[in-house]
Amino acid sequence: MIDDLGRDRVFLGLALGILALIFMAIALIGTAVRFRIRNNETSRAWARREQGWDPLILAVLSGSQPDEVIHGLVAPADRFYFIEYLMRYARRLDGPERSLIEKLAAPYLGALVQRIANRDESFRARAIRTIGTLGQEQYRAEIVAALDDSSDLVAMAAARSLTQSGSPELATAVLGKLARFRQWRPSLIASMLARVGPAMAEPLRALMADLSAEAAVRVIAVEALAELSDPLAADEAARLLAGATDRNLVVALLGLVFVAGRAEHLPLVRPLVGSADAPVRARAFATVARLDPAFSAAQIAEVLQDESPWVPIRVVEALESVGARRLVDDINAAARRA
Amino acid sequence: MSELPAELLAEFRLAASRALAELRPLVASPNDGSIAALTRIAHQLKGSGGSYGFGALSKSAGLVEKSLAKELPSRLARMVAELEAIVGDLEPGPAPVAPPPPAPAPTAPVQRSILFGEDDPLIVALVKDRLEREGYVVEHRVNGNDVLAAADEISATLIILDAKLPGLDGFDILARLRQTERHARTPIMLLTALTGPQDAVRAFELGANDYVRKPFSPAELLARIKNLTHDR
Repeated sequence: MIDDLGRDRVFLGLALGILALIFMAIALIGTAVRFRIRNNETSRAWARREQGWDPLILAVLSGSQPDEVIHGLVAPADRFYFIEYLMRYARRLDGPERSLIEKLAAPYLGALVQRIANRDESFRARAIRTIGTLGQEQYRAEIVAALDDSSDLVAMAAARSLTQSGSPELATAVLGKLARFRQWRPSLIASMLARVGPAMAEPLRALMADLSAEAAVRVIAVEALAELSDPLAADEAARLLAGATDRNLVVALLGLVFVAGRAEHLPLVRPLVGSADAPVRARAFATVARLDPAFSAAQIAEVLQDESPWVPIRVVEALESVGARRLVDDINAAARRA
Repeated sequence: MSELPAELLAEFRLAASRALAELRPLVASPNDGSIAALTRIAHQLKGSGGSYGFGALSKSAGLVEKSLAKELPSRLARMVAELEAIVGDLEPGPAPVAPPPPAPAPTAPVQRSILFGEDDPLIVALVKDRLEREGYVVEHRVNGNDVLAAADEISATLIILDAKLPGLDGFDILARLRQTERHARTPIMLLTALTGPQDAVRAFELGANDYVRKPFSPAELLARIKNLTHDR
């Protein structure tokens, strides 16, 4: 009798538990559906706003409407969305049309600048990226100051923005802060700097030759100079090879001599062919192969017989990257014979 | 009244009928999307009216487009009335001439149609808008295979290709078009986000006439197109 009563209680407890779970599931499904409906409504509302803006933006860009016509259509609550909307155009446009987009964005950027002080680093980074794209001239000081932000993400957004400006003066501000980008791939930072153009070569050369600077920072400068194929930097790089001890710096210096060097640099490169370090050896072999007009079959054999299998692979990759087809064919033919 | 050949007038009448079909419900029951839709239609009428020789219509549509942008919803009724006037202008339309002339008159304007392969809707909108304002007819395709098929069907004055299209890419399309007799000499331009010099070299080696890098200026693009189509 007592057992039956106990079983009934257990059964009742289980049934109530299952009912509670069913109610919770229904509540969760209901909440999900409600959120979905709300998101869809928001998307539709934004799509309607964009449909109103699109023809006018196109008319403004073609010059058939003055840019003022758009401002009456943007409600204060929509200003951040409108800036994001303009970003889509800014990313695709150049020249006078890009300037027009910046002009359209100008009245709304002030509110965005306040977000640079937001506690969330993703908000700050996004604000810097947007201001850097649409209001570089107006908010230059804020963007340069963001290079010192506590977040590396924000500092990188500022660095990208300053190097994309195409202004050597602004990009030089990034050179002074390179140490904080140590954890980023050096080639990425180097490409950003090189994109500014040959006007960057002089400050980059100075940084490369600065023995008091960190090796990691000098590596970025050397890689940027290699992207610029700067012949003056190649002279300095060859000279620096003798005293450089950091492996990454030596490889980077060899890379610069490889792309922009001349045969007269060979005496400074040849000793590194015998380096105990495979990456250094590979880059030195490739540089000698490229610069020495008398690069011989015996030297090719030496490359192929290297104790590290990566050396011949890296040599061929380097030569292919600069279109030295004949040398690559010679090495391939020698490899087949071996 | 336009002095175009009968075929072109018939083509314009077809486009005008489509515009009318879109306009009527908007006029009957204006809604939130009316301004955008009316602006778009007025804009199209301005471009096509000009290129088909209906100067008065083009001018009127241009005024409507401008006033729509300036004097938003409260003045919608007046704008609709103005568009009705355009519709009124269009409806009598020139009567088609049954037998087409045996050969185009030497002075007949050449219809400038452009085939455009691009998969980014915003770039399509930017390019189409700028070119249609100048009276070009833009045929747009998203997929590389569709571009190739359309090149056979449309007599394009010029072809613009994005390098990275789904299906066949721009370089493949360019190579294939240059192998055909029909497009051996058609001006072809690449509009691409590929910025490396080797990509431009490849395009020119395959027979491209021009190479424009994204981000781009629509004004510069238009100037280059006019140069290639001798529309200066």
